[in-house]
Amino acid sequence: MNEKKEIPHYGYMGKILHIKLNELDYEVISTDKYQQWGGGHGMGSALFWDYCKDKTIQDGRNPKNVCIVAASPFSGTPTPSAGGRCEVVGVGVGLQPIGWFTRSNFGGRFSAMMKYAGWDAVMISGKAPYPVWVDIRNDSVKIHKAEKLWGKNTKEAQAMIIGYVGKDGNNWGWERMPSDKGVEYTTKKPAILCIGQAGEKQMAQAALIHESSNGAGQGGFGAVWGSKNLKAISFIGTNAVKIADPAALVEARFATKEIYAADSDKPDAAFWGPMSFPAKPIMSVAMPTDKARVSACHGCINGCRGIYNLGYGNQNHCNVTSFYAHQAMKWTKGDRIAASKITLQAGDICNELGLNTYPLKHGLPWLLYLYKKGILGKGKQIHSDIDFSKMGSLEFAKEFLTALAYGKDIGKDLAYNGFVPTAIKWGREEDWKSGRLKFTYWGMPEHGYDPRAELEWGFESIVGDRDMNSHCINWIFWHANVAALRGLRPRIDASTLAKLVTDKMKPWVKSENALNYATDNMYSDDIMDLARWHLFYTRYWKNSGLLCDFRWADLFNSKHPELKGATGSDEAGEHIYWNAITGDELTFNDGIKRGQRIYHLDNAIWTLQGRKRDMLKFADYIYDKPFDKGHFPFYMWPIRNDKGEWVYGDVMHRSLDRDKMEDWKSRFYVKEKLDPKTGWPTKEALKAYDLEFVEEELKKHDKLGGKA
Amino acid sequence: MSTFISKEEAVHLLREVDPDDILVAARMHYPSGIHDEWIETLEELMWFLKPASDRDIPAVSIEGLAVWIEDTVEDKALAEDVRKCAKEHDNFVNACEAVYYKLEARVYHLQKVAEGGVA
Repeated sequence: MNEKKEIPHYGYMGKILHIKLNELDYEVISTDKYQQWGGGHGMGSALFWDYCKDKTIQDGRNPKNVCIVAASPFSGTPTPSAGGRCEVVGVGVGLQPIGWFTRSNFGGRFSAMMKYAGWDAVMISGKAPYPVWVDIRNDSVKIHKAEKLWGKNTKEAQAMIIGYVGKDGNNWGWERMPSDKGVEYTTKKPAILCIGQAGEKQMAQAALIHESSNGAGQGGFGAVWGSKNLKAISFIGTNAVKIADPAALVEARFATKEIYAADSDKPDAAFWGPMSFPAKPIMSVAMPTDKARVSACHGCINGCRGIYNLGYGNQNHCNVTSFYAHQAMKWTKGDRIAASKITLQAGDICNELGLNTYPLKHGLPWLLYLYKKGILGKGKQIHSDIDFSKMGSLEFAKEFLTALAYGKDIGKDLAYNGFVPTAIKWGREEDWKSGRLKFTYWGMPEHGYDPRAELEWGFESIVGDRDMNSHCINWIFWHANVAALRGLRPRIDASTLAKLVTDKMKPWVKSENALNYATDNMYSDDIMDLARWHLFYTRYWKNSGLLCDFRWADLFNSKHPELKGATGSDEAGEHIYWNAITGDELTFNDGIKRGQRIYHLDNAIWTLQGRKRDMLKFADYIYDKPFDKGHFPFYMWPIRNDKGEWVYGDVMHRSLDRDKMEDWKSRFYVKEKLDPKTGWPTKEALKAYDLEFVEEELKKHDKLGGKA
Repeated sequence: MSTFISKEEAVHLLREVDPDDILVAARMHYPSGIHDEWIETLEELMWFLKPASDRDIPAVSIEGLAVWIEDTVEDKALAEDVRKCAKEHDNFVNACEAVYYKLEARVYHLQKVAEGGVA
């Protein structure tokens, strides 16, 4: 089935669009050279390396920055929970201590439509002399003035572009499309990625928004686009993705449905494993309506978004539905429905202004604290005309979020620079160090999973560039803890789970001990191997292959007769889909090795940007305080107890040790063939990961590391 | 729990605590995420603990909660009841629900006293 066919570009469209904003022109680049990187992040990193001429830049607003929005072979195909994800890479804005080369990711149908228009990625370089938007219809690429779009929110801008592209004026009927195949028509609507006012004002908190709530929020890419005078990119196309072995693809999808995915006819409330989670909107608030349906990204088998009859809140999910929920609950005096209405509308405001909601998760309570202490407010030490006594109301949400997007009032500090630099500027650095302002790594908010308990999340974030936000292993937290909280017997016992999970990770991990998060095993080589596997798995299969974080990796699965997950499986593993689509003969582990290579290319870029070993650290409270405040009754995780037996044990009440973390970093560097003194790439590493092409640039900047 | 409480005491127990003494708890929305909740009053604690959907679990140490009620709010009787709930229930979710009903009764009573309705 996997024999290489003569026709190239199975899974790929063969072309990358390079928009040169300085010249208001574009060029077409062949995908051939970049297929070795998979797609998404890997392809983006390689393009960045080739086209960003100054890799020492430390702020994504620098006009030399290059931003890549990339699809993968899975995009636009029926690969389960993969066909609609899209990756964004480039130098970011608002990270600490500098704007690292970083990434973000969003769902919907943008990457699918990009490919239907004939493109694998779009790369944006330079800065336009005036605001523009890019209109791509199959091979036709036009860069238009965006004078009428500039100043509009993301909803208005997308509606105007849809109206412009649909010339028949009938709110979308049959539209004639430019094509080299003769006259073609489509009823599809364009897929648009755009910025709102926050991006136009170059706020670090600015997101790229596609439709509603499909947002690339982390990394400040909205500010990157704003700095380039780029309002929107619109794709519409009439091509199809060529599949090397369509029968194998369909067979794998059926296998996924039958063996692994949640069955709506036989709902299992006590499911374990992401693939077996039923289709449901991922909301963090009560829904003020019972009229709803599940909505999904392109190709997904189990949607996680919702469409409601309210006229607002559609597609909002995850943090967009939670960042304001607690405040709204206070404001409405415990009325969940009224609070949810406010929360959903606050989410809509963020989507429309193009604001990333994540910093508000821990940022809002900190601001409320400053207000209540009499430090923040009208005429106070930190002056603000915003009335913080109304936090929780829709009125406050409108005023505060608008201030953030437009850089008014305290928004000019908070949203433009980020919460951590603002805390330092305001003389409140201690709040960050003590964890009152819970921004744990790289100036980014803690995700909810404390690194003192959930080791892989913390360790991988520290050796990366941002909050890693990859939930593969984190599902264990949810299942084990919800069972314990409800007093239920765990669906999968700790010993079986450790075996199931680590079996998927071989040969990267040597034993089940890799899942043993006991305090005496925290810094072990086994845990490091688990973190390395997950880091590289994520870099390739999720960030480059663009499998959805919500469903993959499927490391265990209660629907499977032996509780095995789909990941790496012979009938529905990641590589099965990859090979069916591309005609490659990639093994599951080949993908992870590619992820390792991509990580090392990223590390070469971070090195050129100015990364030093001592920058890789958590906020002080992670070392100085045990994880035991309020929060959880316990944080259950598989551990080996004193008798050597596997149990679900509490891994709270501990802090990280600075010296041991430093030792962990040294061992990580040695294992990855990096210079332990600096973390920089060595000659040995470049050879091992087939990255010798970066050596000259590193040498030029005197940043080639010494022997590992 | 004692019902003999003065209006001043009721007002005191219902007060907003100092920002430095806020109870930091969290809400687990299974499986979409964990979200901090900064609780300043007994009434807010009641809203926080009110049973919602099957996918929504308050995340807080019950003993930590009892300590906060006892030391910060200064409601020893309620703290005692909270500890009893933990002992009487074999799992956290049921204990939380029991705490909620105790708290609801206490808050409504305190509110009536504070309003001058009950002696």
